[in-house]
Amino acid sequence: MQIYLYSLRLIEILHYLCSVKAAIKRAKSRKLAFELFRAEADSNEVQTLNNEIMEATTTTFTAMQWARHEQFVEMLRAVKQRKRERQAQIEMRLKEEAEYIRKERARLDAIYKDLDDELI
Amino acid sequence: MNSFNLTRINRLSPYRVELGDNELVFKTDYDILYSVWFEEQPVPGIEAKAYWLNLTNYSQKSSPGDVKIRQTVTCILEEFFRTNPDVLLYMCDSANDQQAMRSRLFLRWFNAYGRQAEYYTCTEMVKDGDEESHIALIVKRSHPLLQEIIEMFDEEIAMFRANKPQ
Repeated sequence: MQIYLYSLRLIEILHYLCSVKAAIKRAKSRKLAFELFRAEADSNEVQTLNNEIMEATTTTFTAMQWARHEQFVEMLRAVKQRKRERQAQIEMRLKEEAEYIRKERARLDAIYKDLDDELI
Repeated sequence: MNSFNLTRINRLSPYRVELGDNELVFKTDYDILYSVWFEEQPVPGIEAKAYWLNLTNYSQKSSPGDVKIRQTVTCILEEFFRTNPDVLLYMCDSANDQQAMRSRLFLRWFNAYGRQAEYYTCTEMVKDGDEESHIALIVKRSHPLLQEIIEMFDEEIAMFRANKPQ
């Protein structure tokens, strides 16, 4: 009788272990399925983004829009050119100022040298 | 262009702003001379008046971490929009190939300015041939042509990116 009860208990434990194993397997397959779903969703998202980028870069503009764009580009170039010219002017002015300071310093050095010579 | 009220600028500006030859100038604690000037330039496709903002470092020396420069320029920009509620465009200085950095800095200045609710700002990099330029658009949100201006700017940027059919 005792052996019979032990056997029943053992069968119960085995049955429980089997159900746990099955649950783990199901969870694993669900996780895998979810990951597959995510990967697919991501790839769909990437595809959508790619399509959007393609669409954005292949947007067609009218000849009138391109003509206006040309004017816009010309305006940018003109602004850039004026900036460069002003930059060159600044650099020239700084050079002139540096040269003026150098000459003034040399002139003052010469005056002090003459004074020193007279004093000596 | 309507003239600026220097007293109003200097009331809040940490550096004293003075009127130069068609420009506003200020000297920093590090003896660096800055110039701010606005150049009117009609922009194709925009009905409203537009100006280019020019910010020049005359001394060509760097002054890292000097927040007073930002505050002074901000005071000048506030005065610009107070007296000229128009479109403002800014192209970053290309000296030392630091355009991208200057563009980020300018945006940070404006964000730090904390007036996004009042102003629409946008900076974009455009390529003309091999040359890259960083341009920024600043316009008051209350501008009656705001939507048109934004659409035009976005369209121009999109056209820079698209390949023009031959």
